[in-house]
Amino acid sequence: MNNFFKNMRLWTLCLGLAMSATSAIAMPQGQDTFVQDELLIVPAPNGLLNVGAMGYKVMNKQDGKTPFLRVKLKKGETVLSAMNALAGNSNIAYVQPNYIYRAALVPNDPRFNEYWGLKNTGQAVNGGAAGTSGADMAVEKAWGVNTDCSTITVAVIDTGVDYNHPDLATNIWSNAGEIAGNGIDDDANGFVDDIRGWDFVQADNDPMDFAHHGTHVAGTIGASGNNGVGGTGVCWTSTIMPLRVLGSTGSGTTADIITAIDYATANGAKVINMSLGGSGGFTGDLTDQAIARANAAGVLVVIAAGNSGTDNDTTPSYPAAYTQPNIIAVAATTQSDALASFSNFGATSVDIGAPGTSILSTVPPARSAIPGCSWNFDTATLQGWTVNTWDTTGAPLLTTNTVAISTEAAKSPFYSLTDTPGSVYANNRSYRAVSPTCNLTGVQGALLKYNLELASESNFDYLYVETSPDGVTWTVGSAWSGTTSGVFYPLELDMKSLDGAPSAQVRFRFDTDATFVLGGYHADDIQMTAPNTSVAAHSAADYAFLDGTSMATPNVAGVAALVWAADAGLTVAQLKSRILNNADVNPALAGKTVTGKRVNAMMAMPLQAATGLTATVQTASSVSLSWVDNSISESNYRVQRDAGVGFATIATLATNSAAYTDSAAPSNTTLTYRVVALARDGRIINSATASATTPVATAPAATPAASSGGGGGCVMGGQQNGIDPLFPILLALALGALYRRRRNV
Amino acid sequence: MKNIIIGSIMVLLMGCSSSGVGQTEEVQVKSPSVKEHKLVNKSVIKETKTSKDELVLVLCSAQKLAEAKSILKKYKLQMVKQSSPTIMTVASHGEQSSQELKEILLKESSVFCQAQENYKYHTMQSMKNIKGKGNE
Repeated sequence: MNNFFKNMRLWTLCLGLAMSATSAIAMPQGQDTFVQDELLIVPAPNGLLNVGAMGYKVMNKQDGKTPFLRVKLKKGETVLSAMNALAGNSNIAYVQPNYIYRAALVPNDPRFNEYWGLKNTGQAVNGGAAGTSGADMAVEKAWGVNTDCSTITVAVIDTGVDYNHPDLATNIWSNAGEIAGNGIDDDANGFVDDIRGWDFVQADNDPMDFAHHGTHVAGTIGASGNNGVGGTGVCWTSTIMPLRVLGSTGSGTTADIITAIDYATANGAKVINMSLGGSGGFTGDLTDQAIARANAAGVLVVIAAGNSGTDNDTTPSYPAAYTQPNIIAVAATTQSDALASFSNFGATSVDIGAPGTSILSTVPPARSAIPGCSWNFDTATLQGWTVNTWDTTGAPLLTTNTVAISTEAAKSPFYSLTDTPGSVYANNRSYRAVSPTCNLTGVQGALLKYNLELASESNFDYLYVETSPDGVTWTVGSAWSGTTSGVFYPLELDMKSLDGAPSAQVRFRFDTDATFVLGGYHADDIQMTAPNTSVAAHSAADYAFLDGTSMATPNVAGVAALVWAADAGLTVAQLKSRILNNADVNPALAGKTVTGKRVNAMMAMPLQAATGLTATVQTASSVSLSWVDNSISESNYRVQRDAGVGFATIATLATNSAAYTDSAAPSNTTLTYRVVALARDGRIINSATASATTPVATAPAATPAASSGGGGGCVMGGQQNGIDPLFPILLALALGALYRRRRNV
Repeated sequence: MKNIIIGSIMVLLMGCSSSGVGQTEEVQVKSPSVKEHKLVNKSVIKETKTSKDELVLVLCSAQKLAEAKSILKKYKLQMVKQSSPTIMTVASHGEQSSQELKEILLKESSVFCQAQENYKYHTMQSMKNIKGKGNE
């Protein structure tokens, strides 16, 4: 039990008028457990309690709605002495210390209140609408058990990770078997100098994120928490293994992904996060096989369901749609617990939902324009671009070039680059526009950004965007055809292959075939950019809100790491079951996911046994029980009694219960009790036992109804005859109000 | 349909190049190694499943690499990338379909244990409602 729970233990003390050998009041140990000069008193029904006459000052407003009195103790009186003094007062139904409740662990990260997925108070974030309180993963409460996931390596198979980000730098996996920079594969894992993961796109040892996606994902799993910087991950401390398989524009292929899965599996990852997908795949294909190998090694693979808003049962998105038992496929939920509009779903193929809209997390610093490599054409000049037109029937360079700057359309004032100003394009032409040279020396992760408006014969007339290191050899990066309906779209082209080139160039080549003509293309605000990933470039502003099942997936991966770190003995199958079967039922996910649930970290955490069980005889037929509720993940408690023939359940109590009165105890019997904490998935854990012997019944006694729910309490034993039958209910209501405070902290 | 972009993207593979501006003759690049995707709107990029002619090959062992390269040369196949000692990506010069390529290569069963289309994947970030600092 950690210090948090030591401080948060809830003691319910009983005052019995029918004193027994076990009825001595013992005060709980620990600091600041309760207010030292106050008590809470519940007057007995129909009693004539006048605490003022007893020398106590009532501290709370008595408006008829509050069922208890908060009283200030007399000078020199302690809580213990006051409770003993009040023990014989028949006008008092119940008395207890005024316990101090502490909130679940709240990190000191300044933007934590924007992480609605971790704790949703209904707060509006990112300029959006308010959410629904409680529509979250209850991570803040789970932190009461564990915040440290560093024993669970989580591989982020993505666009890379900005390992210099101040909220991630200390949580990046380090390959202990590799010596940095010696050019040797020290650990013989097939990868040289892979000290912090691998870039499978460029086949080097630098998995830096030149986009932003992987950094955002990594931060959701394990951005440093409680460090006073930015926000926090699901895990405050973590071990993130960056594996870059998606380029700067966010795309990658099977070959790199399966290699990355195998790398993660072979190098100690316990959880793999894949916030990616595509329509290509089939059961038993190479990716499926790689995930099967991960399963055999006990690795959990958490995968995004997809963002098409479609049913994966009928239109599968891979790799989410594979059926390996170690996969958790994740849909995205909103701040109001709805299924996100973009989220794929699948009653048989998508396991669970998790927060996936307006998710705040880490991103690399904004990219910078490479000096001399931005062209907005605002000055009505070509800004150094060379233009010409070819006749593709014989490939001659035409003497009449028509590529030019035009005012026909523009993203920024007032001009753009176009093929045929004032006219439709011609057939059998190749319209060329070549940029000036750009010096990419020292640049890593170059990216071309441009805005494109296009009207071309779809699938026949193409605008090719090409790059060249020397102006001689050109590589096609993207090719576009069709129409954008007059709208400029911001587009990107990964130029990392030209990193370091001193004379890199870009070419827009618009080729038309022999039939059909349209307006052609307009390109504007063309810019080569470089990332700013040095340590010095980072700032407290390097966070962003993003939407997607990409964002929901690492929430689940983080919870998996959090639970697994707290319960290291789980197998991958048990971990998956733990997460799926302890989640919150969400009507919006019913029929849309396998479980119909949204993940709940708190309920997936290990159960803790109740401690300090005491059994106090009240009457010949009544025994009061109290215990310390140590667990956060129980769905309810069962009280079990053994009268010599074995334990049997005598009551089922609500979560967080810490007391119960057995009002149907057999007289003249030695009774043994235990309380059993139950989780949603059927896990149980028993407390130690406590025994009490009831006396011989001396007179017919009205048996009070059993008290259950609402946290229980201790029935006063002084009214053996004529006890108000509503008393247990009133008491439950009164204490329920008190206990609810704990859930709301 | 006016508001729907019905354009398409084609992404050509690394290594596909044409001659440059300034030469009197230029070979039109109609590489078969083209990946076509539909751009319905910016929030959802729809892609075809894969390149028509790019394959992932799994060598039966790392020691088969030299033999594998020899086979690729024999069939005029280009090794686009080697992701690990046993996994490589190849592209043809457009004379065979991916299915034909698989059949050819899997005949070399002592060298290539598996062959499959090189499917494309992308991030699952929704482009809607993006705010805040970043690289969007």
